[in-house]
Amino acid sequence: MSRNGGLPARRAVVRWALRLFRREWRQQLAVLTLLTVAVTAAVLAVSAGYHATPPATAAFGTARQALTLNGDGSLDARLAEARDWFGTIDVIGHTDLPIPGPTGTVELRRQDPSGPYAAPMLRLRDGRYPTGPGEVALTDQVAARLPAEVGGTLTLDGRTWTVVGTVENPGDLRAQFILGAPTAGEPPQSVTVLTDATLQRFEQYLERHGRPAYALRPSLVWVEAAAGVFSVFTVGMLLIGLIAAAGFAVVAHRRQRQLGMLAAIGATPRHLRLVLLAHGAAVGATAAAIGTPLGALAWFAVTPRFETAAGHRIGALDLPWGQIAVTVLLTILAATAAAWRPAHSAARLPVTLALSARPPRPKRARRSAAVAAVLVVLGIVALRLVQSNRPADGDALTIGDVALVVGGTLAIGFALLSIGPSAIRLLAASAGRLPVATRLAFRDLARHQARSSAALAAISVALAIPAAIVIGARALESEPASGDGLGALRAIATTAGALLALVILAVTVGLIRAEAAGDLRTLTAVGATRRIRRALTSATAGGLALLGAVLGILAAYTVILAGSSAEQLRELARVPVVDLTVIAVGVPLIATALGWLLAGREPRSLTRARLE
Amino acid sequence: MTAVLELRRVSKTHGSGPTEVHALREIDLSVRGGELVAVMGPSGSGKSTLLTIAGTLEEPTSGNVVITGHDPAGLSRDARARLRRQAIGYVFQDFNLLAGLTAVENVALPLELDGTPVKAARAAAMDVLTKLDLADRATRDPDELSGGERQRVAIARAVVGQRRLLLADEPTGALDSLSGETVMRLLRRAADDGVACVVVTHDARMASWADRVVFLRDGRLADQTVPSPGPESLLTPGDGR
Repeated sequence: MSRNGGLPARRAVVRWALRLFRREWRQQLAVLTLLTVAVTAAVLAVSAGYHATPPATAAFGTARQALTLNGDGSLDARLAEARDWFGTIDVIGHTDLPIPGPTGTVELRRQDPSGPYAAPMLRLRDGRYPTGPGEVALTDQVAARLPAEVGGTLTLDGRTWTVVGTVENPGDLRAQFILGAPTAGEPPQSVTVLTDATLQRFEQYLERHGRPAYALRPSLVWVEAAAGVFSVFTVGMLLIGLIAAAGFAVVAHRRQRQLGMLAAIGATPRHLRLVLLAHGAAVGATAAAIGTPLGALAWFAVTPRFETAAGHRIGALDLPWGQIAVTVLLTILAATAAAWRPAHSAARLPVTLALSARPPRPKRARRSAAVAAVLVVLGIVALRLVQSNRPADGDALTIGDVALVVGGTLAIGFALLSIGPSAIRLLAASAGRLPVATRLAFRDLARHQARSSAALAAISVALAIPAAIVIGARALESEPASGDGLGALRAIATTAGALLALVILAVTVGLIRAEAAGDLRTLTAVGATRRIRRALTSATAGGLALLGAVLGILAAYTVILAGSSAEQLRELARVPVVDLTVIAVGVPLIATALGWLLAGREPRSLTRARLE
Repeated sequence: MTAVLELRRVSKTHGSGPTEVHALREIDLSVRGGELVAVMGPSGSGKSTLLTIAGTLEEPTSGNVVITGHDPAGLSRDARARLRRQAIGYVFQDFNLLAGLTAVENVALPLELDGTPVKAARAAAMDVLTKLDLADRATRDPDELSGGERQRVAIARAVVGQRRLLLADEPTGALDSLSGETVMRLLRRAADDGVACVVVTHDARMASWADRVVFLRDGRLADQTVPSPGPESLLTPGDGR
């Protein structure tokens, strides 16, 4: 038997955590909703990214190589050689036919609809495939241009055919052609020979036959789009993870007494950590379980429009399941990681303090401020290194430089999390002469340092991103050609960033005030008016927004200044005053006003005990 | 019978300098298996601190604690947790059953935390609940139990798995007198089965169930008495002793 209870103990602890989540999921609704929306958006985005590029079947069917041969007199002999060499080939003939009008020609394509490789390149939409020399099928666009319809006749270049159907290349809806029977009529101007040989055998063929024009099936064309989608998703998850960390800090405090009880009956610190980590994982898994089908349903709804835009048909269940699985995994990991810090803190609490349900004495902010300072210095050094490594001609960055940029930016981003406790203490210390509600609000933020710091970090990151965009855009506006576009970009970034920060504020301040419901009852019981209750929420929102805006702008400037060349530094002298004022002043003011308007309701019961 | 719990010159000080508070001063206390000791005293006299130190939840500033032959001072946090799982049972004033777990799951929890497979742990928990006439409440959530029932489940959890030391902090404080008597009867029965019980109480009537009453004042052991037999009770509990 394990000294710490082994599997039975872990199972018991996880069971309890899951039961509590089932009982109290409503208290996690805000975090759950944010994560669910993120998963839905990610599933939609990875599906769109996956299908944004045309599939390889558009030009290759199921083949791996395509040769192009000219249709001269020796074509039949060369096709026979290719057949001998490769075993199985699929031949598609191409002839350009003149048509009336400015566009000039249309392709007559001779292709076997059930060919060994090219079958996926054709789809019958109406009628039937042509089988004899006098029959053709048309794509919709060609039928509309000529015009012709199924059952009618088509005359082009002195020849007449009966139109027996309409067809398309499902991998390339923009392809316009007339489909003839594979072996009918005169020789084509050129042919595409599809093969599925090994690369070595294909190379040998090319060497022996004077290297005719060829193409190899591209592999994983969707990877770049997927990488872009995952980068955005990761940043989004970082932001949501910070909000979730604030939410989980609230959960940890709510369960403090029960965790103390669990410790009193013999749970180890590892068991206590597991309770909150299991809770985080459960929140992530629930969000993934709801968000994934929602994302898939949303994708099914937009697929018809997306097919037209992307120019290829999309199978009903042709979703990037691997990428979706990664999204689900990342969501669960992000939620579990967000629970790590609250779990770690809760497990380290002395049992008697946990049983008393009092918040732990805030840790000294000096240490976390020192960590923040080290992170900022590391970030600046990394970004300056990139500048010093960069050649004067401004060549593309190497992989090492990209790693330094990402690392430096992340270091400064994480510094926001570490500077939180000091910033909040400073805010609380400044509240000495302020009205009672503001004083209480700021001191409450300082008392519950864990949740306040996570909330502040989320707001700071949300405002740092638009601040960086507007600062960069304003610096680039010296180029006259791009002036208008960059102005619009600044406006969009400022508005989007402000809205995002306000949503985060709504969630985090909601969590903080819900947690302080007991204090609100006490305040009301001793005669606090609706005005004071409003001021309490309003000051919490305004204080966090103000600190978040200041830290966000500072972080944005730090990253940009550290990563700029001497010439770029001169351009940064143009400060986007209006946008930064909206972020630094407008957002806190709106947050304060919204806090005032949305709060103030009297607690339903002045005596009811806090939920455990 | 040998002592299950021994406190030797135990002191506990909170804070330092002008804010220094002496919660306990040089306490000596020994509780044998089968003995029920009541701890009484005014608020702030150190009763609960004594219990938390006896239960390894806190460490004394000076002095020694020995529980079933082990000195928890030299043990790691994990080892102290193991000692609590295997030797010590807790009963608190406000029940403290874990929400989300049924009565039988609450009782089985210390065993499961100690590595007992779930089936065996549930069977042992069910045995204890049956002994305490709570078998029909086994699958109920704590929310569905009355205060007295919850405290009885808490006692079941404290004695399950052959634990030798039962510490109860005001176990009847939140109960009516009838439920309080029932709880004390169960604690008495646990002591009669060989468990060393320490009960903190304000209520002299409840203390009269004890073999020995210890009085604390300002962190010092002020007095010890043996109550006269036959506690004042609404239920004539004499036959339960």
